[in-house]
Amino acid sequence: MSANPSGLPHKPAGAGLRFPGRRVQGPTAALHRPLVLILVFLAPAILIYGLFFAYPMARAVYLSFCRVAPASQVATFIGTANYRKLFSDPIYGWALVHNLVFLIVSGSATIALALAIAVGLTRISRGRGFFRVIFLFPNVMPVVVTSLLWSFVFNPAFGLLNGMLRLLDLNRYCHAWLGEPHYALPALMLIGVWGGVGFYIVLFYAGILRIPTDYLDAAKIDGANGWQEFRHVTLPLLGDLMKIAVTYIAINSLNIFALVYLVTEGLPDRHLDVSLTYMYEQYSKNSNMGYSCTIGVMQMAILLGLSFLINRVLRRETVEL
Amino acid sequence: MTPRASKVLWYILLAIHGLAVLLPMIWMISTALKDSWTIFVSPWGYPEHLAWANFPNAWKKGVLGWKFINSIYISLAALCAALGIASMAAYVFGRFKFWGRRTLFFVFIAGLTLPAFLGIVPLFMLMKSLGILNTRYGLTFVYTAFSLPFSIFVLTGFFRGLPGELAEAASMDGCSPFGVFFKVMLPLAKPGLVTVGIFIFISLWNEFQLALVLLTKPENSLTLTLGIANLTMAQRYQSDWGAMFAGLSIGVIPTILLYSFLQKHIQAGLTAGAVKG
Repeated sequence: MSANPSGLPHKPAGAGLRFPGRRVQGPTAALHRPLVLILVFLAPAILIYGLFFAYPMARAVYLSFCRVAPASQVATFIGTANYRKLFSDPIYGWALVHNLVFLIVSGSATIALALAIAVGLTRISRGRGFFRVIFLFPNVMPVVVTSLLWSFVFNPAFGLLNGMLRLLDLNRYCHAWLGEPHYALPALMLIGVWGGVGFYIVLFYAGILRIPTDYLDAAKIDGANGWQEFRHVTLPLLGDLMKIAVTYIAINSLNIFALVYLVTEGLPDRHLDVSLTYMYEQYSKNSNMGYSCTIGVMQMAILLGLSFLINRVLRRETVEL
Repeated sequence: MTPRASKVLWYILLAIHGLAVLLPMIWMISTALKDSWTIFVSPWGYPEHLAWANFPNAWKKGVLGWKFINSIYISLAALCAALGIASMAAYVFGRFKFWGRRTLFFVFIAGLTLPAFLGIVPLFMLMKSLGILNTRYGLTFVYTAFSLPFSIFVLTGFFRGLPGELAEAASMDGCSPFGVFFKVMLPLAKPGLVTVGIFIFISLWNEFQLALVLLTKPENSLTLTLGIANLTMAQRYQSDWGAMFAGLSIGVIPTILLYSFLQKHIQAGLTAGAVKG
């Protein structure tokens, strides 16, 4: 699922709760009791979510301590052996490094570009609606199409990029982009920025519009130039939005899968594995189901830690309106 | 710098980004209309004679046509199931107090942050033992379950914000609690249902990871995204590039159309939760 507005602020539980009326006691009172309604209305959700979501997740935690026989799928408890193996697994280490590079490089590029574009949108007078519609196109495209389309853009023989370079008579800059280790990771990150930045543009744009104009006017009267206004008024007043954006980017950079899987499938070695493609590989190619679950549990632990950290670090940086 | 000059610079920045967004998409469609020879000779050029045959070819070749219909069927079925189940649960979470409410709500919402891949191995085993691996309704069940956290989260906030007077009046008039929900509250929640529905449909249509693992046989790759991926992987060393680009274009059309018509809803919905007020 992409662009889920998850982890959003919501009202404290109980605030504004109301019961739909006291019921008149009568012969049908039993039928009117909310308990029946509560049970009946919650049952389907608990059943479906429990069976196909919660149970597999909980079971994965257990399997991460097991060895699972590939054919019979019988699980044998082996304690922390999988975790010890994970901590000394260099391929997993490199996969995490790639995730981290994605998070830092691709993430900062996304935020910087989104901020610039969002500010730009507020400074122009005509065509805002047009630009906003276009900028979100990549976000609603299936990630399968984005990944494959871009793997063709980078294609050495007929790709758009080399085609453009040849057209401009810059043949010496042509590369087999995805086939060359030096260019493959930056190329992947470029695809990531292209596919993801639209959401953050919309987010920041809405955030900037929310800032009361008094603040901006005050800054102008004090003689602030455009950059100072942005640095000292707009940026701090984006408040929680920056925290939300960074949290999303962290989650998305860690959970990156389809892009890397589709673009690098068929490339010679796996110098581009990220944690989830490695997890999938352990499961699909090596039938290493227990170990695969261990990587998944580790993933969850890292995600939780990271969101906690981001919330901690960015708390003091923001101003509440 | 004069205001006018800075405005021009902003326009240039926006135009460059707009071009960067549109160029690959235009290239995709123009390549889908070229024959394989032209693609190699002039990758950058305008298609001289439009090779419309690429589209029927793609439609037939990877059985993409059948998968297109399958994807619509699965996405819509899961969407309806998720909206129905989630609105009932969200109504209870939003408007009733009962023992364990906060804990249960938290369990559902936790699903928003958990990576879908974490439970994939046990999910695969479960579906195998239930005999619903590689089936359309098996995937529909899973998609329904994975859509619940987001739907319940948004709809609970929505039901909580609805005015209580109408419900009270209806219940005074002898409407049963079930009647209050179906006749009064559910119609009031329609805008929320539409917004959630759009997001769920787009994300299910675009879904790839779960389908990849749960539809194990290539000939059973039921959804369009998986079909496109398989077709491209198989075709990478063959030469019908035109059909492949046509396949990519087919995969984009429904969500781009839906987005273009409903973009106000989507732009508002994207930030509704994140931006207060």
